[in-house]
Amino acid sequence: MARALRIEEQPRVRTRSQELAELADPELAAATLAGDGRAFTVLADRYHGRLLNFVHRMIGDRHRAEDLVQETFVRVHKHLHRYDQNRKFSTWAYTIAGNLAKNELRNRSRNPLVLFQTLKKNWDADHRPLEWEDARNKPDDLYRKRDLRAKVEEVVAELPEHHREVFVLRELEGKTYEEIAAITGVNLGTVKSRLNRARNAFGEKIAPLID
Amino acid sequence: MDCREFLLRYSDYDDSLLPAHEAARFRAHMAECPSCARYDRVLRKGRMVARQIPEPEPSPDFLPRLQLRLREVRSRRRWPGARLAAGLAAVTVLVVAASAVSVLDVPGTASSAPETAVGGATPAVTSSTASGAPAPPTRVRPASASVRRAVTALPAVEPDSPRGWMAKEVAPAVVASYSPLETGPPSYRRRLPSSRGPTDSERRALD
Repeated sequence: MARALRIEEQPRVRTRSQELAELADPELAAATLAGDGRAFTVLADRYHGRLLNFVHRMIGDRHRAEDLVQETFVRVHKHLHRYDQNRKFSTWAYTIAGNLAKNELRNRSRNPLVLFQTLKKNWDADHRPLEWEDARNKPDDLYRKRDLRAKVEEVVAELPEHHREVFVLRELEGKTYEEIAAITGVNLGTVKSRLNRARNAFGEKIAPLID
Repeated sequence: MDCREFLLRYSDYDDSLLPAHEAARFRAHMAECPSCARYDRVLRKGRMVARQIPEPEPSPDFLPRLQLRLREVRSRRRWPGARLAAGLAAVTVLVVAASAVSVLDVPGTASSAPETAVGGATPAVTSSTASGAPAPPTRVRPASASVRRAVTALPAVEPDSPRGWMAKEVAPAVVASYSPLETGPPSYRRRLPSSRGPTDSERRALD
């Protein structure tokens, strides 16, 4: 009589979701275009956390950031047939999310006074000389008692928009210079220049808190 | 190296984009300049703290909401003209109603006046009777009130207008005997036992 297979001998049956989770981004995109709706859900699940962090750091509003990330995926789904599989999917998704975040910030600054202040802030950030405070200044003890992470978060949020974007992409999202250039649509030299200024402004503001 | 060059090229050093001998110049400058050394220290620590900032968690219903939105988008794509088709259908019904009322309202044919005998028809109408026999007296059913309300704004059809030829060609008996909106054309009406059938005289006129 044939012996029944023990559990460990039985062939493992993988679900479709498990199979999809092991596919790379271009393969998931191809599966979505072929009509497999679950493939796109896996793709969205892979990136929605990271995109939410990026957009939240850009606009400072967590709930609105989630709406914009939803809109990002809807647009990705709509234009998936145009996705170049030779490029990184994440770069494309970040580009769309970044543009939506910038539009959101632009819409908020419709007030002429707010717009003027934003433009002035951005101009100053790009044109004032790089400088660093005197090492002889001691950090204020009051700042030490505050929540350092909260303060650092505030400092990041106060960076000018175009500096904040490259700072978040580089320092928090770990993107390379080439990826940042592709996402922001500017050349490598501009990315380096903006990142340098962003770091300079960031360091100047957090120095009393840290050292 | 001076502090100005240090600040200008710090990102290249920080991201390890410099050749070994250039990176060594930076380290040598930091060994001599406490201010620039502090700058490097502050940025490294600040970056570490920034990476510890809690990241926002997506809502638990983020993916289900996204799937719902994508389903809506897909159904809109499958039926892109659904709303347009509904609108066109409504416009078509109105145009048919307007045509029916305009046919009923053409001067010289069965008028919209209630219970009007059309024995003394105008020459235009009389000539349309194929056999030349005098048109039998007909009882004209007025257009329903809803149809009349719908087309009150439409201009009256002139006999010589493109629609006017319809009124001239159609025999008054046929015009009087049915309204497409109310009882349908004769062939259609025969299939409906509940609708009023033509009288014998009317049927002879149709033949």
